[in-house]
Order: sequence, then structure tokens, then C-alpha cells
Amino acid sequence: MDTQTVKYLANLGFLSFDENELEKLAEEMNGIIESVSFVKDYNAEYDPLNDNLGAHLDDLREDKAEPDYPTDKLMRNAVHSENCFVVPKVME
Amino acid sequence: MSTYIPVIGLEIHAELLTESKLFCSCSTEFGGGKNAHCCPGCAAMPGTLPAMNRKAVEFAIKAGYALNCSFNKFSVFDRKNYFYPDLPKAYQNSQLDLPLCINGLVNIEYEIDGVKKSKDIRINRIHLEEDAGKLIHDDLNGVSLADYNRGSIPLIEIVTEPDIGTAEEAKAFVEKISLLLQYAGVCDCKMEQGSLRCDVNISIMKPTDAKFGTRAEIKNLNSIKSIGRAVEYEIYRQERTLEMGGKIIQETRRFDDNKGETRSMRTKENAQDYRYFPDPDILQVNFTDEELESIRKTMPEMPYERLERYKNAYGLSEADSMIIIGQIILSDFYDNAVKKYDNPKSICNFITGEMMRRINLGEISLEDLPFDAGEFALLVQMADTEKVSKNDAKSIFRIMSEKGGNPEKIAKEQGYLITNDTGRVLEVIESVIKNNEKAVSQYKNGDLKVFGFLMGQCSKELKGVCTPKVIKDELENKLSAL
Amino acid sequence: MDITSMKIKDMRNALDKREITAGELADEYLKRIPVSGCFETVTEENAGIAAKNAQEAINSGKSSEICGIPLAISDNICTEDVRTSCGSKMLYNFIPPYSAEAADRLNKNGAVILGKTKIDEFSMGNNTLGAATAVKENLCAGAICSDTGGEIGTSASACGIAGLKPTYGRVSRHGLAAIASSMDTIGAIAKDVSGCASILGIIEGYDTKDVHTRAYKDNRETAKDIKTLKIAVMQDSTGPVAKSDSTEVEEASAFFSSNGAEVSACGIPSLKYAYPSFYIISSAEASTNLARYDGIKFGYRSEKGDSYAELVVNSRTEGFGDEVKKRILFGTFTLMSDNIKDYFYKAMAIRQKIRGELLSVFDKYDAFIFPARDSSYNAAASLAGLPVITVGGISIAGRQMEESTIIKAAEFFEKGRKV
Repeated sequence: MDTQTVKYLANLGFLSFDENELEKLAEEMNGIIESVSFVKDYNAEYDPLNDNLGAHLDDLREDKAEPDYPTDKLMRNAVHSENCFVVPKVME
Repeated sequence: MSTYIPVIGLEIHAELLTESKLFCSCSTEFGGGKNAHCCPGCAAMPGTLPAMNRKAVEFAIKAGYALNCSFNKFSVFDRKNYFYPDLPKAYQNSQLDLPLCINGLVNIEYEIDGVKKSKDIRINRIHLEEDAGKLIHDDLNGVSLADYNRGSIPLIEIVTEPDIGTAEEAKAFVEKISLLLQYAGVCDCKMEQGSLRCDVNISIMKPTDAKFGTRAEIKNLNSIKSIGRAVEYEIYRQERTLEMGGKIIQETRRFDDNKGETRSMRTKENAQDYRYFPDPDILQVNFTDEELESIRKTMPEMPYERLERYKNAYGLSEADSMIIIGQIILSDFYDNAVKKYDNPKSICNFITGEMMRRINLGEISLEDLPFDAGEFALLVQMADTEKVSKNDAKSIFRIMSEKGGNPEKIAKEQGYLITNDTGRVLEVIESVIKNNEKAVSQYKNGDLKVFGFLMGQCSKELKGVCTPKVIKDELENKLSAL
Repeated sequence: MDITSMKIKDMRNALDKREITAGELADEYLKRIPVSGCFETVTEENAGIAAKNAQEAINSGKSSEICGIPLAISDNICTEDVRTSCGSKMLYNFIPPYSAEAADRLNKNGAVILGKTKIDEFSMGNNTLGAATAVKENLCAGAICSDTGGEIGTSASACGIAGLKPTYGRVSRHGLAAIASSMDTIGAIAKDVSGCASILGIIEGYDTKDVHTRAYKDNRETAKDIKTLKIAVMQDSTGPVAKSDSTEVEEASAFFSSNGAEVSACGIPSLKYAYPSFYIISSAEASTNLARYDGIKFGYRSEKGDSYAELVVNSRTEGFGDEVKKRILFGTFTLMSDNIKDYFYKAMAIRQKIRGELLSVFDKYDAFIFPARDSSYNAAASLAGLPVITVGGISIAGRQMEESTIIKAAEFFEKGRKV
């Protein structure tokens, strides 16, 4: 793993690091990867059906609407305006 | 004649008609204040978990039946990870490898230059996913306001194989899907309101090419008309680009309705690694054959079956049948009316005539009729059996449209009931002849047009007493006897 | 005897016999707490109100096992109107408008919640849980906290007290800030096994808000007697922190054996893959579970950022600590399209195999013992969602939903060994 890859991962995770941090992280990532990468050689394939918990339609939630949750409670931990969450403009 | 073959696939998103959202019990009701239908789960607060809506899954299966799909009896929901302000969890729940429905088929019919065409469009998959919230752009303050009311509303995504070849086919397909989903009762398919959205993937190729060309994706199409225009423009744009030696870039484009052109949107999005993986919070759902069958049994008769029934059993014309099946609410109304009065052609005529006229004028709406199918059937029967004249039947219908009511009662109140009181008829005719000597002599002298005037005078007095035919016959008799 | 050093069951007795009131009991603890460093938030006022209500219940003879008992809640479990920081700057100011189901059940049953205990940021470090330290130092009688890969057992063992990680799905995860969705549990810490069991009895059970609790089974009647118990002693651990506590395991197996249980050595072939797969899966799940923290809906919001992307990147970069960022990066790495097959799906395949191997162990045995701080066996138990009780340096794992068997065995061990 090089700093380019760490930067790519950081972009996907919406994190940013300076060059020094990227170098240090690349080293740490390599260390972690080295310690776990032997799993690649394990002789088995994942079978999604093996994780089947046997749920059927009746186990799912009934379609019923409940009374509205108070909007002021929803907003109180956020920067809000006109009952909306405020977000700086999105760059296209 | 173009040397290129357009290769078109559609991705249609349809909002499901559930009461609550996909993962929580917040209402899906349209309207209400911003973020009024949002709970801590909708805002992705720590420790909130999804509880899948049973009806949403059932509706997806119904859509599958409507589109002739097969089903994955074990189906998996995944997380699709990306950051965007309309996505509070920073992942969208969708289905990647094991969607609920696969391998469907939809037949479309359309006309080109008066020639009827028919084509089968293959459906790759239908999967269930959640909608994103809405961003309201406040350019003045340089911010966006996020409203998560629409967030987590259940959607089905219908993906076709690239079997569509022209703008006409694309339009016909979306219209057919819209009809089928309405019949299945899963979506109201109102494109203008956003409950049905269509993205188009287009590429073009030469017949001799081994592979498909690079495709562009067109988003932001919110009417059937736009779909047709966008497809036409894009085919033209791609042909022209290639003819001039250029290359088609794989990108997302939006359709500018005013200019009738597609233009490039964000290109960097295509490089996104969504890191799909099965969502451990969700109970992945299984179906037995019996469970699928019991859902299928709740499906109503589909439009094509009704069309055949109307044409074959009722002898309705293709055109009239198409009108009746055009909306399931109309077709159900028609079927209920025919049950009450077994004259399918007559009922059809009244619907395609008087009723559609008032519907198109916006005077009545099918969702909110002030009368029921039984009352409607009775009115048609009354007109057919000459209990009221055909004109008066229209008047009764107007009253029923405004405030409802039983047609017999209205006919009585308004004096429309035909009593066929011959005595009264002769009385009136004699009186009119006596009081209009000039007109009568004009008629006797060969001025046939005056007859209409005399008819009118009689009809005024004989309103509802008998049919116009009776007045006409009697008047002619009397006049010829003079 | 200083009442704050009492076990929950003895405290229950004292309260029901009116030897002390709930208010007095709470005060005994509250006057000690501010001096310590293991509470993030102390909720004195709420505790006072809860004590008053608990005393009413006690007076009318309607007290649950934990009614009036002063407990703590770790700070990654949401408590309504009480700051819940998850040990992170990212949530330094987060006041949840709801309580986690487990916290709610404690409140409804009369527990007196003294406050929120400290944890490593999103529980991703190696430090002892604040809750364990709090119980050890008599700052509360017990606590509930999260366990993803054995944190409860490890911390309980380090503090010489008892800890219980329940079967995955036994206790609702609602309100627990998710790290590894498929392995997170909420468990109990107390001075002794019965204290853990009392707490578990209140917080466990079906909750519509956590669909995985549909697997809940009481199974109280099926607890096996020691003389009919078949215990496996797990061998060959190769993970870090493997050899410490192993003498305790040897002594424990001798103890059980001499009391009539059938004890034999056992192992699972895929043991060395347990910790790496646990690490991969939990990092992958955590990387996506932590993506919701952006400062927009709640939490730390940076002062800098002209665009959405800038603001969110800054908020997350300033708000998260190094360990969390590292896990996010590694988790993202394992899910990348180039790597997902070799890492994430491989780890998932290993997990399925390990589950199968442990099921084979349970074909022959009712429980297995391993050193409490053994990271490989802790990982294996977490991957398979098994319940684990820790006391006296050993951990006992049982079949899913068979807490009663391992609790019974652990209590017997506790009594006999006088831990």
C-alpha cells in the first residue's frame, strides 16, 4: 500500500490527511494487512445461503404508519433552518 | 436512413404505495411540514436500526408478477456506500446480487405511420430499495436545506435489458409499465409528481460492430414526452458525434426540457466504488412456492386479459377496449356496471362518450365519483329502455356528476320520466299546430326546414313525456293529414 | 461493611429489608464518583428521582431484581436527554432524544442510573472499560456496556470482577452506537455472576426495534446441572494475550472435573484465522456504520468548509481520533472492489467455517472454557454470536441462547473457588 492508495481510501471515507500522516498510515496499513493477509489462502468460499436466518414475509414489520415524530426534537442536535438540516452547497 | 442501431435500456424507479417507510413506521404521506415524517432512524442517529416493511416486499413481488418475472426465493439486501447530503446513513439499502425478481418480459404495442408494431422487452431485474431525501437549494445563502421526508420511502427499481430501439418503443414501454404497476396496485405512477422516474441508457452501434457502443445515461426525465424527446435527441447527438470522428464518453447527462437537448452532468461519479456488501442489520427474506402463489392470487385481472375479454366476449372495438382498460379504476367501474346491467356495448358507449367527456373536462374524477357503478348502470338501462330520452339521460348524468343521486329519483324530480301519454302528445301537437298557422302553411308549401321549429315547440311542452321519435312521428302524421 | 462494595443480590436484600433506602444507597455512591476518572457524565438529579421512584416500588412490595440498585451505562449506549459521546469528539455534544431499549428497561424496572462510564473512542481501543473500573472501585454496583470482540470479558478479568456477554440477538442493540453490526452486543458487568444475571434478566428479550431479537429464547429451565455438564477446555491458542490466565483455566478444569463434570481438551482447526477474520469483518462493518457521522444531522461540525464535501471531511477529520480513522481506512480497504473477495468475503467464509466448527464442539460439549483475555477465542465466540460469562480469569462460552447453563456453571465455579 502506498500513500496514493491511502489517499484513495481516505477519499472514500471522507477523511483527509497531510503527507506525513499519509506516509505513517501507509506503514500502519501495511502492518495490519500483513498480519491478516494470510486469510486469502483459506480454502473456502462464502455462501450467502449459509447465513440465511429463515425469515419469511410474516416475520417482517406490518405496514402501519405511526404518528409523526416531533420535528423540533429531531433537529435539536443540528444546525437547522425552516425545519431542514443546513448543508453547504454541493459542488457539481 | 441511419447506419446506426440505437441500443436502449431503461431504469425505472417506482414509489410503492405503502403506508409507512421501508425501514420505519414513519408515514409516506405526501405533504406535511419539512422533516415532519422523520424519526431518529430517518436521520441516521446512533443506534437506530432498520425494520423492513412487509408490504413493500409483497408489492415488489406483485410488480414481479405483473412483469412476468421469476423470483429469488432467498433474496439479499446490501449496503451501497457513498456520501451525499440526501443520504443520512451515507449508505443506501438496495439489492445487488440477489434481487427479489429476475428475468421478466413485457410486451409493448405501438404504431408507426399507421402500422401496428409489437415487441417483447426483457426485464433484467426488479429490486427493492429506499429513496433518498430532498435537497432544496438556497442559492442566496449558498446552502442547501435537507428534507428527509422522502428518505427511506420504498422504491422498486425495474431494469430492462437493452432491447429498446427507438423513442417510440421507449415511450410505449414506460406507458405499459405504468399501466401494469397501477393494475398490480403497487404504484400510482404519476410521473409529474415523481412517483415514477425514468433513467435511460443509450448507446449506438453499427450492425457490423461486435460490441455495444459506449453508453450515456440520461437522468431527470419526468414525463413520457420528455423520454421520447430525450431519446431522439441523444440518438442524434451520438450519431453526429461519431460521424464527425468524435468519441462517446460514458457519462451522466440531464435533459433540458426547454431546449430539447441532453447535456453533460457529473462525470466523476462514475468512478465511485460503492463497496456493496450484505447488510447485517436486515433480515434477509425467504419465499416458499406457496407464499409466492398466495401473493399471485391477490393480483387483479391484468389489462391484457381484460382487453381480450372485452373484445371477444363483449364485442367491444379495440379502440374502445383500450380506453376502458387504460385505468384499472375505470375498468373495474365498467365491469361492476356490466354486472348490474348486462349490456356491455351500451355501457361502454356511455362511458367513452358522456363520462369521458366530463372526466376530460375535469368535472369529475374517477377516484372521487359521486355515484357508483350500479347507479350508472341503471341510468344507461333507463336510456336504453326509453324510460327517459337519450338527451334527458345526459341531463340526469350531469346532475349525478355534480351531486350524485339515484337516476330514477332524479328523473322523477326533474320530470324526465317518459310516460308515453299519447293523449297529452296529441293535445300538445294540436295546440302547436293551431298556434303556429304561418309555420304550418310554410311546411305545407314545401319548406321542410320549418319542421324543426315545430318539433322544438312540441318538445318544449312534452319534456319527458315521450321520446323525440314519438313526437316526430305523430307530428308528421298530423301535418300530412292536414 | 461498606455498602458500596456489596454484591447486587445482597444489596437487594438490604433494600427489601429496609436496612437502607434507595436514596441513601445512591448517595453513598454519588459522593464517591466525582473524584474518579471513569465516569464521563454523572446524572445526580436523574439518580435522585429514580431512587425516589424505586423506593416507592420497594415500599409497595413491587421491586424487580435491580430496583433501587445503582448502576452505570457505558457512554456508547444512548440515554434520553443525557449526553452520549461514545468517547469521541465527534459526539461531544450529542444529546439523544431517545434511550436505548436496554437503558429504557433498566429505568422502567427501577434501576438508579448514576451516569455514563468512559470507553475508548467507539470502543475501539485496548483499555479497560470504564464500567469495569467503576464496579471494581465501588463506584456503582453494576453496569451495562457493549461487547463486540470480548471487551466485557477482558475488562472484567483485568478488574477481577464478573462480566457477561450475551448471545447475539438476546439483548436489543437499539440505541447502541453501531460498530460491528453482526457482532455488537450489550452485556452486563457486576461484582459477581449473579449480579450480571440479574441485570441480564431485565435487559434481555424481544424488541421490535431490533429485528435480530426475534431469535430470543428464555431457556431458563434448561440449565444443566454440574454433574451432567460436559465441558471442553480449549487448546492451542496462538493469538495475542494467549498465555496469561491459562493457569486459571487449568485450575478451573481441575475444579469442574473434581466436582463431577466431564472435562476434556478440545480445539478448533481454524482458530488462527479467528482474530484476523474478526478484525476484517468488524472493521468493514464499522467503516460503513461510522459514515453517518458528518456533523450535519448531529455531532461535531467543523468551523471550516465552504462546500458539503469540505465541511464533512473537516468535521470527520477533526472529530475522529487516530484509532477510529485507521479502522475506517482498513475497513474501507477490505470492501474495495479489488479486495472484497480476498478480504471481506474470505473473512465471511472463515466465519461460517468457525461457526460450524464450534457447533461441532457443542455436539459433544455443553460449554467450553478459555483464558478470559484470549483474543483468538474471544474472536471466535463473537464471530459465532455465542454467550460468554467471565469470572476468576476464565471465560465460559455456551450454545446460543443457553445463558442459563453457563451462568449456573460460572456461579458454581465462583462459589467453589471463592473468587
